[in-house]
Amino acid sequence: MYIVQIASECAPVIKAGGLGDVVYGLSRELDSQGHCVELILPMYDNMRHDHVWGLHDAYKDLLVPWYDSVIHCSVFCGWVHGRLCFFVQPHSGDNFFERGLYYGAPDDPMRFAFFSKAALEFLLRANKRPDVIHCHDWQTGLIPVMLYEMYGWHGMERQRVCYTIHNFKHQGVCGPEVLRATGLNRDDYYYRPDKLRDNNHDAINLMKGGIVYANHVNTVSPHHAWEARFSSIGCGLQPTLDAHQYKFGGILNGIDETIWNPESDRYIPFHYSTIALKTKFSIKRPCVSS
Amino acid sequence: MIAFIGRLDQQKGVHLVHHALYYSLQRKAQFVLLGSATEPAINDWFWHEKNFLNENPDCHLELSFNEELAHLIYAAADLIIVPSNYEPCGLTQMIGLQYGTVPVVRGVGGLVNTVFDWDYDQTHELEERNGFVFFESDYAAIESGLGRALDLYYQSPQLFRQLALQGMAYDYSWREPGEQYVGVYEHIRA
Repeated sequence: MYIVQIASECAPVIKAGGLGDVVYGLSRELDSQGHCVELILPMYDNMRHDHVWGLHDAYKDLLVPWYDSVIHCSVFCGWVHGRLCFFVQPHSGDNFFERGLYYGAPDDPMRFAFFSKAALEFLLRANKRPDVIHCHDWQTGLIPVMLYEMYGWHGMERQRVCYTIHNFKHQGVCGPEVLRATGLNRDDYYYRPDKLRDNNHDAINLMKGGIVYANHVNTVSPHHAWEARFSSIGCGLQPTLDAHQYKFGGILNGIDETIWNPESDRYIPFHYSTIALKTKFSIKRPCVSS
Repeated sequence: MIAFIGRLDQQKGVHLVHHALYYSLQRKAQFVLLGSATEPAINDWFWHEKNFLNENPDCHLELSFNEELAHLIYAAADLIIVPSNYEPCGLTQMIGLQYGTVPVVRGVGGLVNTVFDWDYDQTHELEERNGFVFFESDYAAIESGLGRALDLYYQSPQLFRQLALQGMAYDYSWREPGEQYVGVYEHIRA
């Protein structure tokens, strides 16, 4: 299968929290199971360039529609510890990804709505037609919305979306201007309780858009999926998750065995396994005294 | 030796971490903390504690993030506490299990799906249990979880060792999750 992951983070080149580890870890596992995986990421000015190898031009003049005009973007391509990544760099006065930060700007919803739009425009123009687009958290919630409502009509009618929610605390609640900026327009159509209207505020909710439009939605453990649907852990999205319960579930994250393995860990003085657990107890001494 | 590794904030149950520190010392255990606070008030609070406890040989607070030290602590500790308020998945308990460090966790989110209580779990046989779980977010609750773990450690070291081995037998790598995602992809693809 051909899978494209679209995300705002990928460890270790762009790591703010657990999301980055999941995007990297899952990509590597899918690859080792024989699937083709590519990633699309924003080209932040403060990302760790020392973790990218062979960075080169992939698509020079990508023109991404934005409001009544277009924003000129360059797409670069490089390898992050074996993962093929495409980095989208917009050239506009908005300086979406030249802020010295990943998140925390007042216009975050606009920055990532633009990234979502640019990622889809890149797939379309570069003739990439993955079987599945896997996107993550509120930053890419508009991907399935735009795919179904716009890009499906431009030749991407066979692409399907898996949407993973890592944190319900941040949902991308914003004003309806993102609809105009991305060309979705039709405020009345999207501003409905069964579409993108936030369940508690008079606003647009990007994560809700992801849940409503994706083909499958999951969070990162079965019990958290249950909590999100039936308790305040869902941060207001409970009715939406309930309405879409048949495509909603939970899949545990994994840990990276090449980093976290007592049989090969390069940071510990003695290695051990289940057969030689005794060695574990010799590690305590240097740890306590240092 | 009891460890906490992670961010010091509301989500991670910072008040319970603080309580566990003094409870551990009282139970004659050692306590190691590795993590940093994002809020200035919490940061000040833990620096204050660190200054008071600096001379204590049985405890160390490392208020920063240090990947290398994290590996050493996972390998050296006997117990790792994860008293989170909410935890979508949680990594520290899975890494702890991998390293034979018995997790003591609050029963929320992914912690419920990965840690099975030695005394009370209803869904797993005794041979498949791997840690200790408490549910409320008050001091009595963490004392019950941590207390039961320490009782086993002091009174039945052989059984405690068995519990650590049972935890190491779990495979929390990406293999199984990867297969589950492929299952989802196969299900939705055109």
